[in-house]
Amino acid sequence: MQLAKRIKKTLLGCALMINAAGCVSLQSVSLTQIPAKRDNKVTASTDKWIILGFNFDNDYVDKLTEKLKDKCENGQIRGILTKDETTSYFLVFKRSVTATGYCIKA
Amino acid sequence: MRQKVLQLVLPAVALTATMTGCAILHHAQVGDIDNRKGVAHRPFELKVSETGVNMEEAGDIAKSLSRSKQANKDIENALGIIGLFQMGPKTGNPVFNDGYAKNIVNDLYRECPSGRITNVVSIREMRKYPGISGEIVKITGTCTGDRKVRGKGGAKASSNEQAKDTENL
Repeated sequence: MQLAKRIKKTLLGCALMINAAGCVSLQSVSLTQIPAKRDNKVTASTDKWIILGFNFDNDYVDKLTEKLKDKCENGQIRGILTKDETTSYFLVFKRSVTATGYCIKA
Repeated sequence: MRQKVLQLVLPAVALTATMTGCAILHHAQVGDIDNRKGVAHRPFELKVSETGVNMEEAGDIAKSLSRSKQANKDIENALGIIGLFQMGPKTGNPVFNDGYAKNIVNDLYRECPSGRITNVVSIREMRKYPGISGEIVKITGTCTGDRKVRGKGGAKASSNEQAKDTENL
């Protein structure tokens, strides 16, 4: 009886942990031409939590370029790797777009 | 009384949610960014779309509207045959005009005749409604002009800067 209770608790704990960790899937990847000068790496990301699949716009992606620009004042960003990912949790999922590039100061 | 209010409110909420349409992002891509001071930037946004049809959902709606069992069976058979022609990987729902996005290059040229385009974000998304969808391709970016700020050397200074840029890339 005691053992059954312990197993139940352990299983429940495992299920909870797996749920909290979330499963990640990659939607798309893209890369622009990589520059010769690769000293200054900059990264920016933007995300949105979606509950039960209800999402009425994808405007969160528009903030990405502004965030990247903030990290490279008066320069150019080249060799941008864009990753579009989904992390799934219980009934909710997180959509995130991450961009990493090289800042070349003017 | 409370039940009546709920009966009115719930379908209204469901209808509003359905008509708004869920937005699904399929692909996002960020192009090279030019954030140099003294360069003229003119932002632009281009969007093309086409109506997609989800045959499965359209079939379900048709089945819920029909009353005869035979009609339901016919719809199911038709959907099965259509399904065989729509196999394979795809983003969003099938559309009846596969060339809806091909003119976006011309639109881009019209928007920025100089061809100096930067900060390009390409988005492929879908607006989902019951049975149908809007298959969208959106491109935002900035059209870059010549350098506004020039050194004392005028064109010479500009060509030096260009040479420096080329060296870095």
